[in-house]
Amino acid sequence: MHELPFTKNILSIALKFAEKNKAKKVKAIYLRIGVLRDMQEDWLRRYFAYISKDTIAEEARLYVMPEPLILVCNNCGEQFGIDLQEFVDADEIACPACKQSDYYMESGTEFIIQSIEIE
Amino acid sequence: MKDIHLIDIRQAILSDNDNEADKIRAGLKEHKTFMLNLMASPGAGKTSLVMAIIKALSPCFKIGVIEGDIDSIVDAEKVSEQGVPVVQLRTGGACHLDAPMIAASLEKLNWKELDLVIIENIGNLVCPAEFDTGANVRVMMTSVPEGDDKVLKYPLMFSVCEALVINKIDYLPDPGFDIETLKKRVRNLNKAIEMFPLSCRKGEGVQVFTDWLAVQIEEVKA
Repeated sequence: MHELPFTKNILSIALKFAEKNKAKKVKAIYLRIGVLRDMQEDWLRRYFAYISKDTIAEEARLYVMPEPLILVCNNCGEQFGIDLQEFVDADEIACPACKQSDYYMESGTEFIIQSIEIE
Repeated sequence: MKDIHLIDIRQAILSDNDNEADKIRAGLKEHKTFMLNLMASPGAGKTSLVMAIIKALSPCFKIGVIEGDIDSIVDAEKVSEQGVPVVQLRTGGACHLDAPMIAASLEKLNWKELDLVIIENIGNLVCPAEFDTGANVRVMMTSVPEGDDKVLKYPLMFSVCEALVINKIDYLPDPGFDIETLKKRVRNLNKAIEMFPLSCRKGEGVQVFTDWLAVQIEEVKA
């Protein structure tokens, strides 16, 4: 249920850009959310439907593009995806190419409003 | 046919908060004040750690505390008995502190005179991880009775912090808590994190943490 404060931000950013572009209606909002954010789409939608009433974004559809966890090897530059639970619980995370265990997180924590569709 | 346009935005959903946090950080840097954001679940021992920091570091540094609570002033009363200035932030239901709340609290705290501001965040491992408060370091606290699987449940919190305090080690050995398992899981998520096993109640390990903190504060003052 921690989605509510974020939903307010999503609405206010969408409305700001909609007004700037003289929109009559916001039809859709596209979000990019990393798997580490633990956002429940159902709750985002439910809260959004509630707080967007009587605004031009009422009835806008929310689309979430989930961003997977991607690591990059510091040794050889290989990019590799990994399941979140496996990532946390692994005894050692080795690069599939060079087998070294030295990496950084390239993707997985995104929390971005990518675009809106307006009329 | 209706005219439909796609507007490219690519803005962080929390950008307003992040911008405010950056402003706070710049102000702190200018006045050489260090701010720590302490986060944990309810009952992990945040207030005990705040008291331990005050006890260890108040002879050397001027300290102030921002106490976040959903709806009580018990912690603020405890802390103010130590003779340090405290601002109580009662969020009235909100489950985290954000940068605008911290900016307002800092003003009440006369922060420019202080070396260290400690934010005791709301007891919660979800939302506080998302909101930058402008602090120099984020310290997360977990404790032995909470189990070593907290990392699997709240990975974001463990991945955004600079330090992890593992409290209540006087409860060890505990069948639900293997410290090496916890450390391994945390390290997978966050290679740079510093970890401090300690017991606020017995005092064991506390000085290692407060010494580390003193070094961080000195670096900001230098």
